[in-house]
Amino acid sequence: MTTVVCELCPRYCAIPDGGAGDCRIRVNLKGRLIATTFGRPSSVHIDPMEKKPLYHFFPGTPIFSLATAGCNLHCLNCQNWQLSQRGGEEMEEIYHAPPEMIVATARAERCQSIAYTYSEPIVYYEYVHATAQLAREAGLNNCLISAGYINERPLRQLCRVMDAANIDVKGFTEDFYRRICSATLAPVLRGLVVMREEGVWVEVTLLIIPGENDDPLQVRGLARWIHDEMGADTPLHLSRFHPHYRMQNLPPTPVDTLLRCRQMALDAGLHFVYVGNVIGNGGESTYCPHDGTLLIERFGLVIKENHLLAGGRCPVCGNPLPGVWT
Amino acid sequence: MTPKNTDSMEKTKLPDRTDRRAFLLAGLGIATTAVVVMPSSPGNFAARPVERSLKEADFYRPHDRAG
Ligand SMILES: [Zn+2]
Repeated sequence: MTTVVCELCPRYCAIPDGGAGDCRIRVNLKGRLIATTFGRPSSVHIDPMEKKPLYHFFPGTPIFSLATAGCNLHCLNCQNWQLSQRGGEEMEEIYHAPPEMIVATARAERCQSIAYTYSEPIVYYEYVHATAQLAREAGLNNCLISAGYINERPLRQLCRVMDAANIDVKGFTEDFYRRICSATLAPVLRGLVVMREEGVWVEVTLLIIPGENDDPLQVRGLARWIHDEMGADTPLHLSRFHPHYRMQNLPPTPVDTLLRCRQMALDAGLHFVYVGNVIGNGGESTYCPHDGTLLIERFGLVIKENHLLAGGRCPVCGNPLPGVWT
Repeated sequence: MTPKNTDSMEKTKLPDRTDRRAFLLAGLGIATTAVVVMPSSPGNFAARPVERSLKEADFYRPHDRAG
């Protein structure tokens, strides 16, 4: 009986014949590792780009979004646990959707972009890669919405077909990752640097959980790290926690906490810090870092006004806003 | 951020045209009602028993071989 070692993510699962990796969907079948959810998504929707969230990447456009079951993290507060903490065979709905069908449907639905999202696209890697390659050949954009828990070699290969990513950094201590997510922080930070090196447009999300990762050590720490390693123009989304799954004991994040964290991140030198999951919070619009001009006014996920000129330029100073606009 | 997605197990259905129009308006920067943020499921996927994929994964090795 041949045990195999999956080298996709930092877990390096040793999987015996007939067994599955920690993600539940990579299965050893007589010594061959099988990507069991390839072409078999369980969630397919058209979302606004802002829902990913990507705020500096084709704002206001629809993005074709899909996910299969499975995840290589096990966050106590998972918002999508019915999808992420299950194997492919446990889903009520599994669609037949090979890569070419995804691309054809996205085009038919007039979506210029495809998101690999909701659960964790890292674990359905082969499906993401094959679909993204076809999408790119068809002139579509690819967006990875992920916790970024992946080894460097597969990540570099994936970056070659990705245009943008939102990486959910869960906290900024190894202790947080161990206790809350059953994972580690270092590979996620390494992955962010790799994505920057490979030229992928990256935005970062930090879900603020009261009492768990809303302290200055973590918020300021992450903001400074982003500033130093990714650049001040990297958007940071601070999003509001709501009690889910195995973390129902905590209240939703107070809006004051989110605004305080936003100020910490701005003070650390970041140019674009957004507050998410709170409608009308004052921290959801984009301002020119040179002169403070309101460039993109948002209300929740809806764009009320977009004042950018062609090429994403500020109408007052003419500087291009960092991001991908055309 | 992965949005709350309790609708993920919904059956695939053709999107409601009103939703679609509202969504497109939102895309044009026109604020409409909250319906625009509701996901719409695109129509032509068959939700049915699907054979497990036999697609071989990338990035693995036999356990007895060093990485
Ligand atoms: Zn300006």
